[in-house]
Amino acid sequence: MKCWLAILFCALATPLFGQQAAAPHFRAIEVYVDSGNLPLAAYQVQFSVTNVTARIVGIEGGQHKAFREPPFYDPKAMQGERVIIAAFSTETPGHLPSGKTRVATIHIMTIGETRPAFELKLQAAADPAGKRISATVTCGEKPQ
Amino acid sequence: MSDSLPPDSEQDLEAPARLVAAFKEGARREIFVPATVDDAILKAARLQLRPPNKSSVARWPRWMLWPALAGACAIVAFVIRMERPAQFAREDLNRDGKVDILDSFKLARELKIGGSLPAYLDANGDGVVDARDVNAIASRAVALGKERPQ
Amino acid sequence: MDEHTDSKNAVDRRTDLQLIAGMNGGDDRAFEALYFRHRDWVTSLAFRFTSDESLALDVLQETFLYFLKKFPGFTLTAQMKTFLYPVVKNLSIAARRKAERHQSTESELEVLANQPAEQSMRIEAKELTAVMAGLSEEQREVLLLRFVDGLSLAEIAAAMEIPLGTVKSRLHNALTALRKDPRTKSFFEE
Repeated sequence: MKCWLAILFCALATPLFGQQAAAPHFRAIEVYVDSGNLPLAAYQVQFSVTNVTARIVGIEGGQHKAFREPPFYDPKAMQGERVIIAAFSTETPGHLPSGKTRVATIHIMTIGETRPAFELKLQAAADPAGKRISATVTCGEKPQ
Repeated sequence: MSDSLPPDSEQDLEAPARLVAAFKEGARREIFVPATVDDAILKAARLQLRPPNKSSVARWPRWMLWPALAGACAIVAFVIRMERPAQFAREDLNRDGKVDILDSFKLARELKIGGSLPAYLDANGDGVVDARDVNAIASRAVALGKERPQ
Repeated sequence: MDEHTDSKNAVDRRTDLQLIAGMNGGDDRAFEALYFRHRDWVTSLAFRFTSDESLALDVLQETFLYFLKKFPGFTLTAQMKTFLYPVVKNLSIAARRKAERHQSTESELEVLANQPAEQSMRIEAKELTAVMAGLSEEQREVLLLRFVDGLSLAEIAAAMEIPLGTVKSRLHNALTALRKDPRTKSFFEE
């Protein structure tokens, strides 16, 4: 019985592990928002993988206490290639980040060796009063 | 204290940063401006600023123009009690034409200040304006919609 | 590191002067940008004078309706806040009279004097509010215009329609009073 189970396992696992080129890779993509010298109180970013088959498998919060909790996102984004993340903090300006800050980490799983390319769109960034501010959004893969 | 001669040094007129921060905190009072107030004022602006059509001017006698404008301004001032117009989504609290996290953020700030809030802010329709409405607006802001990734 | 950047800012970047030029040309979207740029300040200032949210909203509407009636042909010769300040103040006085809550003298517009400090305020800010209640109304106005609204001394003089020297004197005397008061002198200590 055990022998048959082992053969069955190998038969099922071969497509995943049999060929190096088709191996899944898990990557942690850190998303940064740079608000310059203004305190960042809210942001909304659309993130998508553009060149390879990928699945979003997890979303974490950021480095600053104000954005440490995971952001809002649509659960339907899981197992997809596009997500909109957003968060805000009602803390006073002294307790908000400014400059370049990591607001979230998006975990993705890609198939194959091709490095994924990403597209980011900053849909909103605001100061503690809710006024829109200029900011830039960037991302980078966290070193393993 | 009476007004005396102006001081010689402008430095006497500066305040330490801590004091300025305390001034701002003491004066901080965010007044929620309902969308209906914005709408009334913007409507008055459209009436006042847009040049009239030649054809409409031809139809209106000149002596009627100013009383008509004054009447229109008076009418839009009563729009305060009217419901939110259809061109803005219910959740678009900051009236910028889109529903995003800033609308949710605005409601969160209002809730933090406290006090009674208008019923139209009840985004999830449960009869209460609370943090669940904040979450409801945020959920709509990040919804992927009908588009699906390939 | 792969970097993909996109900055997006939906705010109208035209100056107030450019927006007013647009309004003179019939552009109501220019007014919309100007309105939202100054709306919260006008409302906050009206509340400082009226201590009543409903009255502040009434003053907000009347301020901008008054402003609109100057078009076309309006020329802005100062900062918008400098132009709006006396309008808001006078409309606030009128609104208070209409509400019949106070007698009709300017000296009774006690800016912040009788507002209880909000629960969420830090102790420092509460102390400051209490000390400011002991200053004259003119001194409080100058302090708030300078350090909360960010107007320059010249702009304050134009807004309040008083000489620049008077602004400097009131500000100097107000800061001296804060420096001497035991509750607020710590602000001036390094």
